[in-house]
Amino acid sequence: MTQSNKNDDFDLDALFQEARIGVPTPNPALFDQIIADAQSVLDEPLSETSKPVSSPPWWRQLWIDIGGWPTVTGLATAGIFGVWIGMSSDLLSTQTIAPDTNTVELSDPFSGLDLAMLEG
Amino acid sequence: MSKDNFQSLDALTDDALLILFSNGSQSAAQELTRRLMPRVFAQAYHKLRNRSDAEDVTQEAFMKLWRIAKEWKQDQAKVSTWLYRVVENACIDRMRRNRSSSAIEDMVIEPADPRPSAGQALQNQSRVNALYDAIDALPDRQATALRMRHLEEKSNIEIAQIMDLSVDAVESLVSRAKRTLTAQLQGQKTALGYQDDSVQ
Repeated sequence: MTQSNKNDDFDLDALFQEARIGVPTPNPALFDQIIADAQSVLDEPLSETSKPVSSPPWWRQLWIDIGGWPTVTGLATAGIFGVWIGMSSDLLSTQTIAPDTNTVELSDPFSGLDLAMLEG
Repeated sequence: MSKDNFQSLDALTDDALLILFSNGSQSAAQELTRRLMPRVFAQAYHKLRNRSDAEDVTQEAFMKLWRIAKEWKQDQAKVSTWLYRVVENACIDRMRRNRSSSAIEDMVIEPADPRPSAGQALQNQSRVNALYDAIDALPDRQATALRMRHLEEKSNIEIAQIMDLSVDAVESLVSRAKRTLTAQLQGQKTALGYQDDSVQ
């Protein structure tokens, strides 16, 4: 409890006590209203936060399952690289025998991969 | 509600009652309301100085409590502390919306504790109004600490928990607030009729 301000010219504690006594009694109906509110909350259906989270659509799930953007980017790079190998295969024939000579030229069909191998 | 049931609920903490309520117990809601409503109402009244507004804020605060019950975790703040902050914010919102002289008029019209004479009652009410005015003029933290300590009679430890301060800091706030109040009200002593009775 508060201590009295004996040394103060103005007795604050007496005034605090007057203020405390001056608090009116709430309307008795307030209790009933609060309880009715409580009951209404109990009667409410599950709130949005309580509902189970619905699963994402199938295409979204597939996207997640295959690994998302990193996987698709890797696949695209590999595809482009494959096309490039196919296009350059005419230049990199495995064996060319010139019809008018007896020499045989050997070439590395995968020489184009050297750079790729270096890239790790 | 049976007497035994009431007594068993009476022994439970506020937290336990709230969880019980979230599981569908209306008796728990009744016990919590019985336990906390007077304090909540008094807090709102000291801040708003209007019975009707204080009742509205009390009802709003309890509604928020019922709604948060399902998500309540026992290791978070105490129910009373949580409720105190909710009421404090609700009062500030209401004061912003409804800042007018009607609160003071209402207070004069319905004195809660009628004294022997109407003149005496009005004088007492004037003093209390002067006290409330002086508290409202204090810096926010001092006013909040002082209200809790001297109007709601909370312990310094409780106040420290609610305000997230050390007990020493609370004592310092209250002490400074009281010094300021004394200085302010000292000048109004005659106007407040302290020569006429035994309060001094």
